[in-house]
Amino acid sequence: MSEASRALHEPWPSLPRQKEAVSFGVWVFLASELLFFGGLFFAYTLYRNIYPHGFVIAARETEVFFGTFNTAVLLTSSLTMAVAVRAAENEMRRLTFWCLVATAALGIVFLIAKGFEYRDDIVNRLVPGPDFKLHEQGAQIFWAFYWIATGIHAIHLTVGIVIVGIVAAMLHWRDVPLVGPKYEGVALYWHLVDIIWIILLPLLYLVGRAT
Amino acid sequence: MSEKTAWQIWKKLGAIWLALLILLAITVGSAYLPLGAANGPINLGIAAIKAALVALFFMNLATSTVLVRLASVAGVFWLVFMFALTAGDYLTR
Amino acid sequence: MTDITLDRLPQAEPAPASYLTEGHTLASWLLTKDHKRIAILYALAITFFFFIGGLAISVVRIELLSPHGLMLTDEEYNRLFTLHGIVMVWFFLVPSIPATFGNFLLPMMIGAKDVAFPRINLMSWYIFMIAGFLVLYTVIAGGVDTGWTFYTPLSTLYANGNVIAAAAAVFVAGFSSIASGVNLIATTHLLRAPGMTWTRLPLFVWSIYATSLVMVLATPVLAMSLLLIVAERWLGLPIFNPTEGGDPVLFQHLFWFYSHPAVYIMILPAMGVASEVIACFARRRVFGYVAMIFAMMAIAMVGFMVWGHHLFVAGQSPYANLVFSFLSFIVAVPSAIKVFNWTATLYRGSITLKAPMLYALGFVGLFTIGGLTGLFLASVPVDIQVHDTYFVIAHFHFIMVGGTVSAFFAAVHFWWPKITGRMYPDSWARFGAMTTFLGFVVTFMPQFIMGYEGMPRRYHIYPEQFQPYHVISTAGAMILAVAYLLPLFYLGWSLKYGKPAGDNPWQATGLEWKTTSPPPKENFAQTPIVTEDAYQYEYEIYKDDGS
Repeated sequence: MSEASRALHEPWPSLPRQKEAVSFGVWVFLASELLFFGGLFFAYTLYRNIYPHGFVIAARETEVFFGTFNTAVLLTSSLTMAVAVRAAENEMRRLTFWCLVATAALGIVFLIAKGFEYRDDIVNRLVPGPDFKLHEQGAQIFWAFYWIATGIHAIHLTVGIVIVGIVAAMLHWRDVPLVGPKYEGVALYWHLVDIIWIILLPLLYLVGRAT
Repeated sequence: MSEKTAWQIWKKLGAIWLALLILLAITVGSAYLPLGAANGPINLGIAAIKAALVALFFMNLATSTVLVRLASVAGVFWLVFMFALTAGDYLTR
Repeated sequence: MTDITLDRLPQAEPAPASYLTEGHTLASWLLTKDHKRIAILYALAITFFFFIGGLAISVVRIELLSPHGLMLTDEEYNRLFTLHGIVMVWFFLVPSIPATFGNFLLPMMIGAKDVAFPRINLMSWYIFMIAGFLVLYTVIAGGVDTGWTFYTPLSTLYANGNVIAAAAAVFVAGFSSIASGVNLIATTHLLRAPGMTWTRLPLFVWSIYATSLVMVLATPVLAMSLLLIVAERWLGLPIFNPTEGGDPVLFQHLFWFYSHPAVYIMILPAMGVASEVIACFARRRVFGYVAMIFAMMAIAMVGFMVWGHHLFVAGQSPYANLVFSFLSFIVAVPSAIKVFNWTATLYRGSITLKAPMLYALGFVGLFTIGGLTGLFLASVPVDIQVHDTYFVIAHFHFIMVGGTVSAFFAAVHFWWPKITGRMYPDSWARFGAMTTFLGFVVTFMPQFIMGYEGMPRRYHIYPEQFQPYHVISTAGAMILAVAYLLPLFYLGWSLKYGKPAGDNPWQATGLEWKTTSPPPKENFAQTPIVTEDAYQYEYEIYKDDGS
């Protein structure tokens, strides 16, 4: 059985059509993800306009080092992911595999760094509640956003890591075809997680740094 | 799909990656410059450019079909409704 | 040896091969990738939830016979109407037509073998079932009392019920919606048979397509608003809490940004069904086919811009009220166009009043009344008077029950022969249709009047002057209950004893009728090639001439 026929699923008449369908389907799903985070971003925008001072005071407590480092890590993981897809298209089995592994590994690096950052945030009493460090109006709301946005992002990233890991494992141990649409599909999801973080960086880490 | 060597793949995509890292440096650096009210929009603008680079070159939108490209903007377009009409309430209270 | 003849019934013929006979094990159903079997799995689930939601409201309606209550505490009352709302909206209405008839019919109507992503289709059903278990857990754990709308700060700070479990159930159900939506959109774009261009598609396909767009774009915002409630209630993270500077009305904006388009998720497929049934039983093409398409897409789009009409008295700015009111009037126009076009389809038609047609005609009439009362509510001064009264309840029940449920029953009766291969007794079905209509009107007409006179919604104990209306309404609800239970009997009967339906018992147009009843697993023996527009009913008279 050729690679192409192994990759083809019912009800698709041809592989290019199936690939277009997976791309299209994942993009439609990504549109839903954008609306999901969009509600959160709107709420952020609203409260930032209502409590500009509180947000500035609160945002200064985020750790720019971690934010920048993590952004660089995710951008690099997007690079390795994109290379994996291109490699798969060109039937380069080993390059695809190692790039998928690198992508997942970089994702794990992000989560570890995030873990250290969260620990610092907790120690610095930046969890909203009676023990919260700051008293300006709006500061608790900023930090509520921080925890919710980074938490949901981390969950999305974890799901991504698991899926990339599974695809890499299947590639290595079960000899799945390289010409199928799954690499592109997974990559699109991964890049979305990266884009969400790209947007979160200025919202969470770069507010009020200049004064 | 033109046949590519590993080096060609890394070179093309690596260039985009480099651009993204440079933009990252600019956005973090400019956040520390006292630009007043412009800091926010500049940072968001740079974020938008980074997102566009990822979408066009990593997510292959630049070479996708019209259908896929339409799907990619649908979400953004719909967000505009949400933001515009809800902001309309809060700004006019 | 003499021949021994035994008196016995002739051997039943073995059932012809179809999607129903491909595998009889439980695994062949629970692990199926066949869109038709998945549709039936959904149908069984939503029927179960329909009766759960119906049971809840039956208890409420009985309780409301007396202005002082009969058997429930206030807390129990609140939890019952909340249960009714949550179950009916997310576990019946939203999936009702798209996940059952959309799944079953859309691939067939476009000439495809299955949906774009069959395994995701199955996964969406499992996600729905997980959500269903979560909501049943919520009920068993005592329920939730916030109303299906989960308004803050009641839901986040003060409510005593199982808000988190309920929110989790709805959150999970939302993923099922999104998965189905993605699947149906991709299927419509990429799996149409040769010759099946966009403007030859049956209007049902267009309606499911428009619905799927709304499902994909609106549902995530619901997911976020529920997530924020859970974050605030469970983790104490302030978002809507006024004492920390939060705005409770923000929740209402986010919630209704989804929930208004959600009502279009509930009505658009019903409109698609109406077009199919009316065309068939009037033997006429649908009047204004292209206008019908534009109308459905306009409803889908403009439907996203009107949510603020739920916030007219919530403290929204008067300027925003103006804009939302205006847009709410605008969104009624495409719906009205559709009603005019259905009517025009009937004109000079050759009408037969079989059960599906009775339900479809009931749909048009009741939807029109519901829609007109929506215009009352779109007018800010009127809304200020009737907001949170039974007027609103009557309005949305006319649309969702008089509209969507009628169309759902029309669909059941229209496509039952195709899905099961059996005919049901039409006289029982027509009796059921008329009883439904009667029961519905008796239940909900009095609610318009008492709402206008000031009877608030969600009230357990109410002023005595409203009792006559409540008694009539409850009587109607009992009639409705009988009418809804009736099909279980004659449809169940038909599965064993109904006449075999044949490929096309209604002589309907549409690709689904060009294959066997029930269809084979791959839907068609060969991929159809489409050469005509939809609804070619009017050329029958020429065909009868023998040409």
